[in-house]
Amino acid sequence: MIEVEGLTRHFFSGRLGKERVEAVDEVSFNIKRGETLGLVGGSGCGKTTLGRLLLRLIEPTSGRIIFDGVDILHLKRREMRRLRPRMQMIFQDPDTSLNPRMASLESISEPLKLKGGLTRAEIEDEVSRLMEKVGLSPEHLGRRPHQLSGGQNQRVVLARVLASNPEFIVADEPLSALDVSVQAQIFGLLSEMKRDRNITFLFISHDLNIVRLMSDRVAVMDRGKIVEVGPTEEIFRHPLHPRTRELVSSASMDGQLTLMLKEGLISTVTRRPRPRMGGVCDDNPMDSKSSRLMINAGCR
Amino acid sequence: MSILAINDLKVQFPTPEGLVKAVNSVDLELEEGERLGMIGETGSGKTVLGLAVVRLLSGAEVEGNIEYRGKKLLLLDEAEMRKLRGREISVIFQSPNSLNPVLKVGDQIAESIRLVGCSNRQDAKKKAVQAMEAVGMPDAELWADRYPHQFSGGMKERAMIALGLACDPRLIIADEPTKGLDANIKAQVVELIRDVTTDKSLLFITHDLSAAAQICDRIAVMYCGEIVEVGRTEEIFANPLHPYTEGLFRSLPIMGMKAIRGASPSLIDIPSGCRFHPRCDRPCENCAKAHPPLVEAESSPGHLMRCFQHDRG
Amino acid sequence: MSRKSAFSAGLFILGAYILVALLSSVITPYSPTALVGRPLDGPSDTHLLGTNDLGQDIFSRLLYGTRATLIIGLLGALLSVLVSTLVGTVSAYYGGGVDEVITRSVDVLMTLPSFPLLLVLTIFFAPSIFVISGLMGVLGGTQGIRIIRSQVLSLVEANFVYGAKAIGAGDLRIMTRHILPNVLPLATVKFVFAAQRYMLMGVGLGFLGLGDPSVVDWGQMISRAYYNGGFALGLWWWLIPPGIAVTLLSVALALLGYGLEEEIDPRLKRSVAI
Repeated sequence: MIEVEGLTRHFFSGRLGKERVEAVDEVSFNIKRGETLGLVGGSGCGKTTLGRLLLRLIEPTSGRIIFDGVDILHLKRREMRRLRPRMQMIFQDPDTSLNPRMASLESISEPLKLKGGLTRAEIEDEVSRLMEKVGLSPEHLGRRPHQLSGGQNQRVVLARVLASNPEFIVADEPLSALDVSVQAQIFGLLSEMKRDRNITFLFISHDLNIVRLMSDRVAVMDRGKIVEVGPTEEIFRHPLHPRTRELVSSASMDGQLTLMLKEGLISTVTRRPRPRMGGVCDDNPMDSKSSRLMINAGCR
Repeated sequence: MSILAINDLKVQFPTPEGLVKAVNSVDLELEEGERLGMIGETGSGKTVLGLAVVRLLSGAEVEGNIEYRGKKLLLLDEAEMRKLRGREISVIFQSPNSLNPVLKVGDQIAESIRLVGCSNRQDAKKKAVQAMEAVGMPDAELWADRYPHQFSGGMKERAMIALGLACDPRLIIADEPTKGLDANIKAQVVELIRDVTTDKSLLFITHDLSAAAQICDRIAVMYCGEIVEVGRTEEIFANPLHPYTEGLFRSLPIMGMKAIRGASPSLIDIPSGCRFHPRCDRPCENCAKAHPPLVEAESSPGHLMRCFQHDRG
Repeated sequence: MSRKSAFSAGLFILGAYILVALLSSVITPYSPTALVGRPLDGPSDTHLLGTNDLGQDIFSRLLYGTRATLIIGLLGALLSVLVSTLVGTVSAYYGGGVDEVITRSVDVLMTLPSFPLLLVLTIFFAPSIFVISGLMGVLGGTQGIRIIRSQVLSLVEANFVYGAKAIGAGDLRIMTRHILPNVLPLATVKFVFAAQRYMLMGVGLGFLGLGDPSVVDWGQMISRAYYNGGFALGLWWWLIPPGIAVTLLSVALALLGYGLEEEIDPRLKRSVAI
């Protein structure tokens, strides 16, 4: 689906722009259709720049990007614009990913309007279908980003992205600005998109634990270069590069917590809910069974 | 003896959209030398609670009783309160917006040391450098003469901690000190906070469960302006009793990210009965009608929760 | 005073001025240029604010003067905001060579003192109020380019602009739908403060005798009163009214601008964050 070869982007900084910073340096990798590649690295390692380069939102200094057999760096402006809806991007900070002067309705319908050939009613139908899909209610249609919470804004972003009917999505830290419980909700939506629409993802994150849940393969980036790529579990079990080891160990820094939680969940299974408050709540054996299944899944 | 006792604390903000009830009847005690983690999500009121203790809220209506070592803080006048802030109780704010960009970091720490009045002008600078050394900054002398923009995220957070600790306070209130830091830097900051607070009392306000687990002796979980569960750290994590706490844990990446349905309610329009019942997996009729009290679980003493349904046996 | 009431007060006063300007030919008792009474008469029933040294009705001249001042202020400001928004947006959006050329030219133009330059240019071209406002607009517009440009520069890097590019929106659409609406509040505030400044400059030109000789304006009135004895003889009705008219209008625009500033940042309107 995506093939990247020797992709490089320099920035110039410092006095008179003489210092050359290699934000992305000779990066090569590929992603198969329907696959999710996790991209991890510390802040400032160039992972955000790489994401934007892939969609040609910024121009690379050199290299090649093949999307679905097309070398997108050699496309003319017009051809590129026609291709763009097929590749989308989700940003870290949902509050800045939406035009502050546009209500949700406008934001979500924009890609549909650009596509053309749809009547007003068709657009409205499609928007409400998308809103429902991402868990927003019609009352949110008229609201602007500052009237919505971070989680709700990220849902609007997802609806807008889905409106383009993309095949490939670069998700740049889509969860890290959100609360724990909202993270889980958005994560659920992303995995649904991946599953139901067979969308190819580049999932950028600094949190290895999230990447682990989401990705088939993981690439580790450090100072502009990809230093290790491999199947997710392989990377976790046998990290080779020192940078990967560092990331894996800081991800399992939550080890103490994991231990406590898992121990706790084992006891939750034995601790079956019993009726209280005059038997209003029945002790349903199905409940404890299904909760066991969920727990097993959680501990996988 | 408890260093901090909060009784029936209510904090409300009048806004054009309505009254925001940020903190509702919170009771909390912090023992001398204890480290308590206050866990909550955006809009749970945890930060407001922390700031209410040092009386740094503007435009808020605060009711109830906050006692610090026998002193009723809400009855003190501003001058007396100022004497306590920094010297006895200090706040570590979330870093990026809390350092003045046009002042050298060392000077900022020195200035606050001097303002708090625990040192004179000559000694303040020396103390500031010492404080920076204490938080593990290499070449503290050199870094004291630099500006905030020259500091990395982790270094800024260290500077903030140095600022909070400079006058050797008894009680520290840390407001989301690990927010927005990279995983490996976060690990260092967590370790640092744990190390520098060993002989102090700490109110650690955070949404980061793993940081709280590593630092705190006890954990309080806040939801929608009230405490829904409180107990020893191992107890809370190994044996969460409130459905919200449990749901929060299941939302973690390491637990597979199983979402709680629905969204946190607004603090203006608080659900009736149990505040969590609209999102609860197993609500009963009573949950929508009556507001559950915070009661001790019979099985584990000292572990309090606010749920009708939970097996107390 | 709250920003809201400042805004309403400013708008109310400005509205009243505009009404007077539109209706001046209807509500004035005399033609502003006709000699309708004895020279230097004090206020009376027939001449509310008396007459000047030529025997023209001061009240009528005062009302007519509103037109010239408002046209210079508003038209000049409109032109200047158009110039600065257009050039600033294009410059920041496309960047590169276009941006380089524009920024350097603005740097050069900024070093020229604008009021003296305006004086010279006004004398050079025939001083009609439209020429004056045009010159002010172009000269003033260059000053505003930098501010708009820096605002657009940060918008171009905003995630939502990248997002718009990603869905296949063209340059024109991105500029008009995504960038301009976010620059507009700033441009509006600039417009109001520019209107205030140009109006005062217009009055200044009139006072120096460089205004449009074919229209009545407050600057000319003050200058005439000052040089032809109004000041020496203490004829307050001749000197004070145009002064008050200028001051009040200027205050109104200042209030309006202050009230609008909140609009620059919609987040200012947000209630307390918990």
